[in-house]
Amino acid sequence: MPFRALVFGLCLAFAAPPVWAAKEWYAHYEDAQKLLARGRCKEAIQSLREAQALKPRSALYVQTYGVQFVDEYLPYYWEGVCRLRLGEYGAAIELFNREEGQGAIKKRDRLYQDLRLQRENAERQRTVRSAQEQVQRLRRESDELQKTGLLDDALARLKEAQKGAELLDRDTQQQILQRQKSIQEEINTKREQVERAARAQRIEGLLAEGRRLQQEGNPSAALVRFHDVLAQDKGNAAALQGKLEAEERILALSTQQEMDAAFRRGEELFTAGQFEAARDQLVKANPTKAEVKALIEKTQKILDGIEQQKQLRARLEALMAEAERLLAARKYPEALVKLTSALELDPGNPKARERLGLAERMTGDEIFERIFPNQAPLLTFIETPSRQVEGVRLALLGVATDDRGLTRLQYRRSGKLVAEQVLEPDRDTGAFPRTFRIEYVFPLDAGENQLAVTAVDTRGLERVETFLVHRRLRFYERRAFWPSMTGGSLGLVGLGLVAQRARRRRALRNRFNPYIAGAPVLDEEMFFGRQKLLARIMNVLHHNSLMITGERRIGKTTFLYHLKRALEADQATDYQFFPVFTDLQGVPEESFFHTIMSDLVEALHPAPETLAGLRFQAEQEGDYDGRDFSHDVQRIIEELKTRTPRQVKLTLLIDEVDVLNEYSGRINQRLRAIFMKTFSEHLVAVMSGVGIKRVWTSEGSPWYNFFDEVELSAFTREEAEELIREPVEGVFRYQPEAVERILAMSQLKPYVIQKFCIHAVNRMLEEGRTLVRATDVEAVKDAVLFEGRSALLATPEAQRASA
Amino acid sequence: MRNPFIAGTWVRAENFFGRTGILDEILDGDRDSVWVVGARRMGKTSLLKQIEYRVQQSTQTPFVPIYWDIQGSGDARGLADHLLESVEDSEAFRRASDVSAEDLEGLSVADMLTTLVRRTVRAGWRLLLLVDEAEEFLSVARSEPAMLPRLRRIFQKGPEVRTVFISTKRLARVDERTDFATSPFLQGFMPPLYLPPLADGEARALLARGRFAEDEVATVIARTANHPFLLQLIASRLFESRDLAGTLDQVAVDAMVANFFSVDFQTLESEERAILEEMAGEGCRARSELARSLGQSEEALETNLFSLEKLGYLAKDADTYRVGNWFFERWLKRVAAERRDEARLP
Repeated sequence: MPFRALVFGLCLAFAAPPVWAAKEWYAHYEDAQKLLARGRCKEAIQSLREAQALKPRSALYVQTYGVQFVDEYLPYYWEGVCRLRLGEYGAAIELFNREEGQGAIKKRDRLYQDLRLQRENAERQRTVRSAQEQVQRLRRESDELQKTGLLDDALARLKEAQKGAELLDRDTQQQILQRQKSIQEEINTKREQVERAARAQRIEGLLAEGRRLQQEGNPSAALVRFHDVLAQDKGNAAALQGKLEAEERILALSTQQEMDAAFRRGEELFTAGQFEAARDQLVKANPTKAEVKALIEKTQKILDGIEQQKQLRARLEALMAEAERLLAARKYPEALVKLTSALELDPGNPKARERLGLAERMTGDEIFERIFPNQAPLLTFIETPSRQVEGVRLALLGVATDDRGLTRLQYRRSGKLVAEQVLEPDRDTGAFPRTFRIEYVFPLDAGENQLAVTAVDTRGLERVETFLVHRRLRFYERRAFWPSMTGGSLGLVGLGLVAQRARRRRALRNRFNPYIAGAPVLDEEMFFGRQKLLARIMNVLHHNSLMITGERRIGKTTFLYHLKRALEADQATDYQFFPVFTDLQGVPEESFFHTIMSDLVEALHPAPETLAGLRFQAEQEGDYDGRDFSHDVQRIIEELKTRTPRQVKLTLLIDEVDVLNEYSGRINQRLRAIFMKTFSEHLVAVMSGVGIKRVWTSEGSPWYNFFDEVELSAFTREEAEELIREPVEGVFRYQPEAVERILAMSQLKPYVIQKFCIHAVNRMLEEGRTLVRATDVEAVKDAVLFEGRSALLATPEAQRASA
Repeated sequence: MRNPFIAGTWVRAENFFGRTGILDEILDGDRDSVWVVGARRMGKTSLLKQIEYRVQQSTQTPFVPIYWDIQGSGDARGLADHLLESVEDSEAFRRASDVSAEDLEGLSVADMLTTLVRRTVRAGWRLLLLVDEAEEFLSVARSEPAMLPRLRRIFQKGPEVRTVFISTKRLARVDERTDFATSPFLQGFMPPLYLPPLADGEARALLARGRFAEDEVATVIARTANHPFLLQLIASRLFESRDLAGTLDQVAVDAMVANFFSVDFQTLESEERAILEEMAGEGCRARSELARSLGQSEEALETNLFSLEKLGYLAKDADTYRVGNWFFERWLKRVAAERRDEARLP
């Protein structure tokens, strides 16, 4: 027994994991990535949760163990991806927001773009699901109400469902409309039955009264009743019989003079428009005379018309009163049913129309409220402030967003309101802004500061973000500062000089020369001088296509690249741009549309089902024409619409458009035809080239009519100076005369400026200096101008090859 | 606020301004064959797109619209291809008429149109055929003259179809051909409706989008004479620069605008061009003075003056005429000066 206990104890001891074997955060994170790749989302979430518990802060290029690093640690983003795959849309959105709030992901363009796309996707799916749930509930309720005979209420539910279904597929909308139609028919049938029964009852009453009056010796009054019956039921035998008898009695009891006098009186009253009194007299006239019969018939018709109008008005008034009551009780779908019935009776009724519009709008708003319940505004900060700071001020930068609109932002320090921004609605639309940039600088006290930002939406819902910041006294605010300052500052200056010398030495050793001449400038930091134009184009592109013209080497391609980046990052408006870059250089006419579509497909990655519906096939260039292109663009735009709630603008950025000058008129015509299509409301283009030949032989309008022309010209003096000095700022210097010479000889053309800079810096490097002199510029002048002229004269292919 | 103006591209819905009278006449009038004549960039395509949009939005309309841009068709096959594309482009039309592009593949244009009319009527509608760039019929007449009488029969099929042609004046030349025995192609489409510049109120409504000062609005209206393209172009650039004088100068020398005037000018008949050149040279002229200068009778001038005024090339103040807008006048003067300079060269 002691031996068995010992063995058992040893087993337990070996089986238990050692303390040093506890998993680190990166191991959980790595597990999660592997699990996610295998589609095991639930387990991946568990691992991510473990990682988050051990390391809550996201980061980039973070050390794991030893000298091992992971490129990025973004646990909330990946959990969001898992949740999205599991259909937990709300949780996914929250996690994406959380990751965004952490800030690290924003430094990875591709991942950040993915995050935004995934979040939009989750929001869209959540909306659809919510709409589906609401619509299903309303349809269920409608079915139950129909079963219990409450048809108006059943119809009201369907009207509400119809509004919700506007977010769903067409089949669902169609089904709801069909159901509405069938319930409406049932309502109409029931109403007709009730009306029939009421009419039968009314006829019985009139017949009984007629007979009674006949018996009481008042045949003319009886005759009026029988006429009333016949007006409602032409062939009623009892009424016909009663009418005959009453007429005989009138003939028997009245003299000819009395009957003639009654006819005359009847005629006078008819002319005076007193139709009831006229009929009372006319029934006393001789019924065998044709003129008497005709006038009675005419009078009866008018009276019937008046009666019908009265009944109609009464029904209309009842419906309108009921509708008003329901509107006041905020029962908008029910009011909608009543108002629809009112308009069936009187289609032109302006009040009913106006109230119907209101009921529809309010029904829509209510269902919208249910599908998109108002949520507190979202506050996202570019950077979370450090817990410990030294400055006397702290800037908080970020953005507040809200789906209903923001009304104000408040800033509090240690509970006390220090500033408030009241936001104004747009003057045209009356809508409050949905996003608002936060840029507030808090003054800080020494010690603990509680900083709070509050965003309030139009419904009064608010979100507060609070940061605790401890302000330490800065070194110069402490007593030891002054004695140490002198020595310290001397040391710093020395260090600075040493660092600069080291930087210059390194630059000399590495032959640092950042200028680029020939190839497009892709580096954001080397993009100079076009910011104003970029802003102007961004401002008009949502509605207008543009043609950028300019001489060779003026920077058109570079500009298109940077425009593409700016469009991809643009989040500021109601438009979502999907820019696609195409270079037409060397593209033969027969491949024109195929080339553009090929770039579209490559850049936008359409979903497999969209791709399957396209006529585009990567290998078959020759057969693909403008019609195929239109067909495919239409489908791609349809898919893009599902990727964003904003208005889609597919943006074609087409470079080297001069080749169109060589194409036949047919291709140019086809290009124009694309911009005539309805889907072109979602299509804009920016073309760039030296110039389009404005020769148009066709009877109709040319394609370039659609394009507003923008000329890309040389830089301004300030822009040119910036291009010369900034790339080497802090490393090399220019003599002012050197800059002046470059400006004068380059004519402020960016390509020539860069050429001068490249050669002048090279010459300086060869001589081991860090100052560019005017003599350097003079010395390279001939080479630069020769190369510049050759490049300007060379074909674009040759230019590319040399670049 | 982003720039709300649209220069060049067609517009519809909330971006479309004015034209109420002409829209009502096309949609609610009695004529089933309508030809709308307008100068270049006067908003012809936008008018058709707006008609299509308005009909699609209406619950009371008897029409199903289809927009058919025929530019570049060249011949009957081309017309058929363009019509097929129109059907592919309009899901609303396909749904309402229950026609698919596959139903029409391989048919001739006449058969295609007949099918569209038949299917539309069967679905309980009337076909509203909106033909843009109708000048293309000139090319069709050149390549296949026998085609036009066949098409005319379908276009004028009566209440089942309402056909709207929109083009510049050049389309009138289609009836200059006399080598086919049937009625002229445009018979039934005459007299045309003219598409003039916008009215003052309409132009003001458009400019209100830019929140410009009142004196700026008045200047833009005076200089453009409410020509829709010039209005949009100037408003768009003014919105960006907020410098009216600079914008007007820039547009006055803009190569694109000059090209537009030049091409537009060429669409006119030689007598009409002569009138405009005379007007540009001399400023305001009464009809009698103009007739004397051109060596014509006043009666002979009447028709051309009427259409030039209707199309916005000329404006009439009491009894005198002047060139429609300031920019066009400047262009005419510049061209005349260039021509004089050329003539002086040895």
